[in-house]
Amino acid sequence: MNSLKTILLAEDNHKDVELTIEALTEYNLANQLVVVNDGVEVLEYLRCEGKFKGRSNDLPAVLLLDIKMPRMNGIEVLEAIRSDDRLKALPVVMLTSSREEPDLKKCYSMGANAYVVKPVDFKDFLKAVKHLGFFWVMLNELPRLD
Amino acid sequence: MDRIPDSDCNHNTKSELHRENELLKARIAELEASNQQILAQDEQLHLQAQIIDNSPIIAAYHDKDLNMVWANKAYQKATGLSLEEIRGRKCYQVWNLSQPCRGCPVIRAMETGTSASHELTPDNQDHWPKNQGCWLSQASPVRDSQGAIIGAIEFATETTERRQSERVLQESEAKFRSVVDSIPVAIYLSTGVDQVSEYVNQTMVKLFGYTQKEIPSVAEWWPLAYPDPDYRKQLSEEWNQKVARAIATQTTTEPMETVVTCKDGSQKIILWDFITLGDRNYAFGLNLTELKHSEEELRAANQQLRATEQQLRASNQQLKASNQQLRSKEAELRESEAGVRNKLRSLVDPDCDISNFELSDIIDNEILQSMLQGFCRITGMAAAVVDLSGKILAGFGWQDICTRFHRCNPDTLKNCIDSDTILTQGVLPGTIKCYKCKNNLWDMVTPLMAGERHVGNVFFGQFFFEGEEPDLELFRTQARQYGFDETEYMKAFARVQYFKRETAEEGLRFLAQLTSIITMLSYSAIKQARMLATQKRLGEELKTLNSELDLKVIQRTAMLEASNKDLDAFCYSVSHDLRAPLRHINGYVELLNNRFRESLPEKACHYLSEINDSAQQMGDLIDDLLQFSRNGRQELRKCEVDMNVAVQEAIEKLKTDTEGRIISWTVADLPRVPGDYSLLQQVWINLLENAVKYSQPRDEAKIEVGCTRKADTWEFFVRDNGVGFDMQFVHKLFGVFQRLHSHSKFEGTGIGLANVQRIINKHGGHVRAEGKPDVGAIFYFTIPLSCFDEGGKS
Repeated sequence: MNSLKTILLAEDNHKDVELTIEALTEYNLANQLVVVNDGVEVLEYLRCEGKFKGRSNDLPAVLLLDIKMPRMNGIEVLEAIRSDDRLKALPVVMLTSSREEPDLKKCYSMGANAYVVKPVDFKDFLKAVKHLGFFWVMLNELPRLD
Repeated sequence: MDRIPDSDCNHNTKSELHRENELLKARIAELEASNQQILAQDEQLHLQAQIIDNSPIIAAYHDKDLNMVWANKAYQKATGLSLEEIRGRKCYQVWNLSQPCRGCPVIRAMETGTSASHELTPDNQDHWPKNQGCWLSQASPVRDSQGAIIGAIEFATETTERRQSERVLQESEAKFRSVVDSIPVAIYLSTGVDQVSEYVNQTMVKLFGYTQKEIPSVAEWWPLAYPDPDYRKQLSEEWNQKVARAIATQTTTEPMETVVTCKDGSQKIILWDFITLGDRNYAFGLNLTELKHSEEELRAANQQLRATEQQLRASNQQLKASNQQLRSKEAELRESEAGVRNKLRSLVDPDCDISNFELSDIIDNEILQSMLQGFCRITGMAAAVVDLSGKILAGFGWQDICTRFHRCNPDTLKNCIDSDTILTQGVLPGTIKCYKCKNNLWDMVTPLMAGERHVGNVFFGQFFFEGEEPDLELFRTQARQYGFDETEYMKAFARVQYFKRETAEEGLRFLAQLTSIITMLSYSAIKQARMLATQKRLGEELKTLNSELDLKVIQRTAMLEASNKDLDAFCYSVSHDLRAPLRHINGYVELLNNRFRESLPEKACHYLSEINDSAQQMGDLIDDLLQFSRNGRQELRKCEVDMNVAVQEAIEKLKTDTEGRIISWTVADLPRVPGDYSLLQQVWINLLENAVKYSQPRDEAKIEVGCTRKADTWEFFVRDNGVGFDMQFVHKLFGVFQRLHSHSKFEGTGIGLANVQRIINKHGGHVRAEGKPDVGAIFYFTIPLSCFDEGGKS
């Protein structure tokens, strides 16, 4: 591993975005964060399309994907990623406000790598973000793309 | 006359003179003749001038400059001017006109050198006054000896009246034509025997489609009108005969009806009439087609009407017949209705009192009748069964003397009825009454009993006792008294049976017993039928009630399930949506605390801590609600649950709450039950958490967990020595958001016990609680021993 890779956060609520940035700041990971606001933008970023045309082709270390989003929700995005040959190895962490069984089962069955319930307590949130960041950005090694 | 010399020519001169004299004489004669001629000519001219001058035709002479030279008297009269006034003026001035007339023949005659004529009318002369009238004017040029035109003579006649009458004629002709054209009769005007067409009216053109040109004569018209040669031949023979006769006799023909083929191929029925006036023939054709059609239609409609009328009459008769049938049926029905109704009621209606029924309602008359017939054939005894009202239900073997005589005469009939009444009075059950009827025959009677009830009487009668000598005279007297045929009556009397008293009594007793048995049998059959009916009805009622109950249960369950589902959905969406803003509050408070704590005043820090607290509390509430709603929606995952393990794990999870507390746990050995492990563990956590929480004020908390075996359930309990509760609020314990203690004393969301109840109910068990303020509380819940399926249902 030579350099820190980016974390892609898909979140439409700007407060959640801010709090996530704050949490990552605590662990010096905020510079790695790229934020998009809905499912369509996620795919545009990953495929370097639309306003992300011309971006360097790198994939992020991890995608933190909120389930409830406008235009295209998290589950639809996950489905699109897993059926795209170039993207299907991308680690995806589903973020949601509550632990709802049908969502959770659906996400795992569609190949989510983790499922994180956004904790109400900010301390817990910090912990969760830290773990996520460290695991996916520092430790996890993706299979090489051809 | 010239002078002639005498000397020279004596002889000669005389002869010459003579000759000359002769010549002179001839000349004088000649002159006289010519004078005569001139005189005659002059006279003729004068005559001619007179004629012209006095002619009614106006005449005038115009010089070549159109100045008038002469005009005759008629002219003067017409203009109202004298010759002197006319002479020298222009013609049009004489007529008070501003300019010469258009087409003036005088001008044209002088211009062309030939005669010209023109009728001048107000119609062709713009400048003419209306009253000028019409004039036909003719002019001829007048030439001098060299042939040059020096003037013109003009003759004119007034044509006003002729014109007018012509116009009247034209108008009347037009009127006539329009009449002829518009009358609905086709008219063919022709001349001669060949009937060459002179005029064909519009009606005819319209009717057949041919114009006059297309049918110039009958010879050309007929092949078109009657294309069938045979028909045409037949018609033409008839027609020609008629027409010939009409022309010859100058009379009308008899009308003739033909079928004419029109130009468009259609056929019309025409009635033709023909009349000859002078050399003109008038053929009149009246179109009868529609009339004929409507006649036919009328005839058809008439026929139909007649048929319908006949049908109606027939169905009316049928109706009357069936009406009568119906009426008689109705009467029959009405008669039997009462009987049938009673019988039915006796059988079916358990509420109606059997004792009110008449005998005929209970027993089968046919059986009774055949029984009596048999009895009578064996014994020769006339017998009857009569109900209490005197109605004969069955009877057989009546004596002729009664049926043909006594019962047929009003007086003896009265005797019969009186006798019957007296006979049946005061007869005790089991006894026989013997009575000589008012018509002097013996009758016997004994009461008919059904159980304890007197339901009728059994008769035996119309006989004499053996050894008895009937009074013949008495019967003869009766025959005379009531007007019976004595011989016949006495023959009937002779046929009356004789019986021994014992035989009669035995027979009657036997009959009474037999009838009684039949009655009893019928009676009990009715009772049995009723009982069965009642039983059946009750069974049906029970069935109905049961099914109604089932239905109610199903409906209620469905309603409950629906409302539960609604509540769950509501809880889920509320708690889910509430979490996000709560997380944000929490996050920002934490950031404030982390980053700016040093610069915040103490009060602000306190507020922040309160906000944090509230947010925490709300988070708990939401989590509990979510759990609650999840439990509602979640299917049970059946397995065998070891309650010992479940309790121990629950106690483990409560460690943070029990830290620093002195709690003495007493946990009995618990059974294994069928159930959902995680849900049952949730139950233990909630109950034990409560026990720990509400025993907090005690120095030493005592919490006991146990179980008792009931008939088909396990009953578990958790007992504590906590603050307890007042039993009057026990019904509120298990409701959602219901709390019996203030939040400041004991934290809690008010969902825990509701959750417990829900989980236990899902397992088919029940929850209950007992408590006493300041002493403690016991919470019980049951789990069925084995019936997972049943539990799952409720």
